[in-house]
Amino acid sequence: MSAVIRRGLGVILVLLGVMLLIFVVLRIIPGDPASVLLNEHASEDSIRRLTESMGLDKPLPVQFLDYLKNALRGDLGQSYYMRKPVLSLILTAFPYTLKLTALSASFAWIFGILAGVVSAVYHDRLPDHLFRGISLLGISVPVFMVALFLQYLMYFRLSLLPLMYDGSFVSMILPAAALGWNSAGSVARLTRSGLMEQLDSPYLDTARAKGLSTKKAILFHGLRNAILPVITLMALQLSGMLSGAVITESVFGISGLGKLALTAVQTRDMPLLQGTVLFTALVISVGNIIADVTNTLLDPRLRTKS
Amino acid sequence: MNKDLLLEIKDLTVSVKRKKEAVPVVRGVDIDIPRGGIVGLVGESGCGKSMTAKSVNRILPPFAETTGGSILWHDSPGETTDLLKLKEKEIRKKCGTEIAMVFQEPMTSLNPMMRVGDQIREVLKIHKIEKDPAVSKERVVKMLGAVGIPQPELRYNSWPHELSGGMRQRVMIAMAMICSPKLLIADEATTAVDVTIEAQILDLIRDMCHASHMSALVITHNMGVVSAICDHVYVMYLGSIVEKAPVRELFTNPLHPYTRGLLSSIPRIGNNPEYLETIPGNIPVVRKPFSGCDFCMRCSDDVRKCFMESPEMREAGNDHYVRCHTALTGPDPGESKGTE
Repeated sequence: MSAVIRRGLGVILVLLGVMLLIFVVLRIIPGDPASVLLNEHASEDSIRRLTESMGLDKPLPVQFLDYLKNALRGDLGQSYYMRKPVLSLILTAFPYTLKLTALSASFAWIFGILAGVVSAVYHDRLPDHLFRGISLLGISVPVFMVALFLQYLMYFRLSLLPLMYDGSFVSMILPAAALGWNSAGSVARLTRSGLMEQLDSPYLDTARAKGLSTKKAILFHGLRNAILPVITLMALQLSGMLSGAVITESVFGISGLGKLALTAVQTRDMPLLQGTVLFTALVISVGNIIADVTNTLLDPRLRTKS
Repeated sequence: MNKDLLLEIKDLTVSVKRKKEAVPVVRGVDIDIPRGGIVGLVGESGCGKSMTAKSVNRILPPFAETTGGSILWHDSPGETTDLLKLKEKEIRKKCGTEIAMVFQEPMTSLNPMMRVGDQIREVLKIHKIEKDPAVSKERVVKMLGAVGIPQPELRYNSWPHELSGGMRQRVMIAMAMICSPKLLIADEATTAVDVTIEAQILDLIRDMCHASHMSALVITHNMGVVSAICDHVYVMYLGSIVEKAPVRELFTNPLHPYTRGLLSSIPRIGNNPEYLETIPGNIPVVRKPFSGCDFCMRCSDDVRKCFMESPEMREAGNDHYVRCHTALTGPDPGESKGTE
């Protein structure tokens, strides 16, 4: 239990650090938000008035403390560009990201683990070479290439799936496949190498001597031991996907977190950028904790130690 | 042969694939295991003991395969099946129920991610012997108690890493015994545990055999283990059996120079404590079939014949057989290479 509290405190520290860092960085980089918001013909006077109204004339520490105080109350400020509360913008965008993540993660993990197991069972034979080739492609080809290729194949050539995201489930398939491709490749490789390491383990001989076929022994006994690092990888992938897939969301026109962050950067929208970065940091920290906790829960050797 | 045999290994050959050639590591081994008898198979590391054992329940590693011979399983005196000819599915059905095995490494032979009780219960589940989980659990707890594990209900839920080596080996034995098999193969079952535990485990195996009229094939490199529990001994050297005899006969009248070397290299209290006998030389590398006796390079009384032709198994009386040119006749002084 104390471990959980310790981890919780850690998350809070990380979030404070992230807030401070993004706050300082955004104010160091050149460019004044007030002059970006108004056009280049705006008078000195109106720029000064806007700066004051946004509270940007106060000393930096005061600004930071104000931001912190508001953030604690759940107020992440007002987006300069979209003129809406940042928190509500994030919460509107998040469900899209969540949907994309759920679909691409399940695609990636089911395909990845299956491919890894098949590769390990038939190692150095045709299915292994095939799946290893596919997963190598998945790891090495960038997401936008996969996305464009899938769009070309499934929409322009075969007309099977819609080109852009339109809110329907069918239109989520292509983005999920494009985003999951890469993760599937890493999961497949890690599953395969983990299982291969287990193949000479004496407990697999025990399982066969008990009456299990070699394949069942690998599946029921080997996989259980090989899956731990894969689960850590999956938890990290999950937090990565949840914090927004900028490229995939842009290519397919999904208004999720990634796209929101991109807009914030493009319009120099400081509160929105701070908000999205903070949210991402939170998701990733929580993802890491989940990875640790699942590992501890699954591995009896870790459980006794803690 | 009028004995009631359970298992007959006949002319078994196991080869290991190395690059493109197949190297025979078990060469024409014959072993008879009588019903209810405990048979020992002794030899040094790498002589093919484990390969022989793993051929019986067909769990050889992928790089090894049986290339000849037969392993006859006598369900009853009239009913015989060749285990090597069974389909994979049929042999797996026999494993765990009729043929059980205990391995050398109690630390790694149990799955570290499964509770020990569940690992034992899995045998019942695989062979669909007991479907009711409560009943099968009770059966496992009873078995854990029978192999001498204190507080078996509590230990059912232990993880392998929470148990000592001796306890884990008891768990392995419980797993092997849960279906009351006809044959127990103990592959160096006591090598990794210390001597007091070794004695307890050996007692346990012997008692189990006697109580349920089970046969056992005990594989070891330790002559002490052989003398403790075996009825009959086979001595293996470089993939073939060089001597076989009832245990008392072998210890009082060892014939093969290798067996004599093994026996005199056991430290004994009271003997010269400064000096321990060893067998000179190393195990030769198995490559091409050599026409002479495999042991001639390390033998003390080698004669020219030993380098020329491989000796046949010869009977020496008292159910004692030996594969040696000189053991029965003694070295012919005129032929000894020392005279040249």
